[in-house]
Amino acid sequence: MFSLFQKATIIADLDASSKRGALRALADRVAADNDLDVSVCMDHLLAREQLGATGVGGGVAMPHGRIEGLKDIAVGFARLKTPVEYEGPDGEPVDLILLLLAPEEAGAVCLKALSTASRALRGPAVRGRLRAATDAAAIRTILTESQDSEAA
Amino acid sequence: MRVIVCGAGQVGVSIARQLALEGMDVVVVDQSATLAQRLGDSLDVQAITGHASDPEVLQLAGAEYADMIIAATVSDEVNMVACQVAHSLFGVTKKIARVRTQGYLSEKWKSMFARDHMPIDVIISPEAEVARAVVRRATSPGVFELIPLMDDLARLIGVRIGEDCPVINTPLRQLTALFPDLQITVLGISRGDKYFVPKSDDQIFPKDRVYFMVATQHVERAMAAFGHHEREARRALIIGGGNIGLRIGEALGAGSVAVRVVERDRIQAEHADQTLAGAIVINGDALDPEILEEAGASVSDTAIAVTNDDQTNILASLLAKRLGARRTIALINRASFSTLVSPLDIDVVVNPRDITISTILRHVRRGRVREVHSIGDGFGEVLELDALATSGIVNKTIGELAMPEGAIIGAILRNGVVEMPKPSTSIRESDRVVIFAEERVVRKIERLFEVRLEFF
Repeated sequence: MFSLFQKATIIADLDASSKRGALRALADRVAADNDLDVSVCMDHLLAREQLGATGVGGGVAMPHGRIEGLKDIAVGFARLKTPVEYEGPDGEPVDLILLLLAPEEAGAVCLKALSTASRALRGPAVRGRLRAATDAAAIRTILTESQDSEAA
Repeated sequence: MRVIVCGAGQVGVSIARQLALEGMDVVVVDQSATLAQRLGDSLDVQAITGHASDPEVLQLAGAEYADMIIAATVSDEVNMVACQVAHSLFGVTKKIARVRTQGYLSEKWKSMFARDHMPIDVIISPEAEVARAVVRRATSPGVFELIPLMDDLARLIGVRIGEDCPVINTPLRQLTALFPDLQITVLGISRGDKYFVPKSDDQIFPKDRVYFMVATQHVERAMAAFGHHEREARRALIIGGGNIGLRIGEALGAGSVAVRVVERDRIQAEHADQTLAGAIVINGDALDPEILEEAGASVSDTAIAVTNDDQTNILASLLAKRLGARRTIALINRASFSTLVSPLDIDVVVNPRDITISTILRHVRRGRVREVHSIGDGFGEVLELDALATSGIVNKTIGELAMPEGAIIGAILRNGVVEMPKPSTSIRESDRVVIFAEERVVRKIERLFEVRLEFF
């Protein structure tokens, strides 16, 4: 099974005071790790948010977009020091953000990645562990384990 | 959503008020401490005193986490620099600037506002937009409102209902049966000082003002059904030769309407005379009946009062009407005046607030929004949206849709063809939909069009 989180960009304690600030800081790192233009990424992410916010409730959001020229799916995860307003379905502020960028052409693959990620982050238990994790490496382990156990 | 509004003038204040009502975090920046203070006291907005393009001031206004800046000070240059600063230093997502000087707006220099140059997403130019709105109505006899939608394949039209209108005293649901040719959807009715979205058993009465959607090719037939057979304007009298008056004069003149202009200020009148080839410009007071007579009020099809003074516009149009002008259009800034004049003999009231707010709302509303127009002094909005996969609007018949009370689907554009909605119509992905919604249910409509998480 393809691991979403093995090479993911992970930020354990992101300092941001707004949705835009958090997205931008995470996108900055993901763009740098994947050789992308961050302003192009932001344009796509924000345009997608305009069609419907990607908050899924329980303090989790999954912003995503398709990026021209991207070769493979790029993943980023940030745990925020303080939650930000995100307009999720439950109105709760968000402190766990999973960012997914997919190649322009990829069809079913990105939907699969999105549903895999969504399953890996489902449930209060895994969210609690992510919030309690000591560092980025621990977060990566939790995410990877969660993906494996959901797939099993 | 956090929005910074620069400039607490008429435009800035009406935008700030509307956005605050929408529940946004609004910060207003103005150089005048008193203006900013007064605004902060009367509206639920934060007021900051300072120069709009000063980075320190913008930082204080929270530019680092603002989603939008609307620069509407009196200075084009300050507005442009404020947007540049918001972009370069603070990464503000959406930049809107008010720019009036024609030179900056010329098609020839359009590339200036590209992202890599001066990153302004939207230019608002209230005078130009007001002029366009006036021209649309001046050239369409019988309407007091006309908004092209769906690439002008359909139109929202507002008409006054006379005693001799064929469709009065008939429940709306019977209209199609009685007038099979009449392919329209009635979206709203204004009766006295009340507005409402009609239900199928509501009727139209004389003196009502009715808003309806119609495919552009059927406009003439629809107008006839509403009892309007006016001929197109051939002679226009423009009262006020300022910025707006000149733009209107140019547009009407180009469409071979004979134009006369009355302007009180001599220098401005000379300028108008030089600018408008073929027009007759008279220097004088439009409230003087002799001047109006000299300007041909009695033989005008349309008298258009667009000075910068509401009172003058109201009185001059009444006077022109008394002298024999068939139809009058008046620009009225103050909302309180708009309601006052509705029983008077002014045929069309143009409200700059509605026009400017519409431009802003287009960028505030959720969904893939193509058009937003604020109607009836904030009563409601007509929205044109794309129906996207996974959203609540697709794959249900209109009958099945849980449309909130106070909202109505006006038209559907599918494969380039405009269709009027029926309960059995089902909306599909990539249709374009026009919806009219009272302000209080707009949020619900946005939610109906919102895509789900899996939309990529």
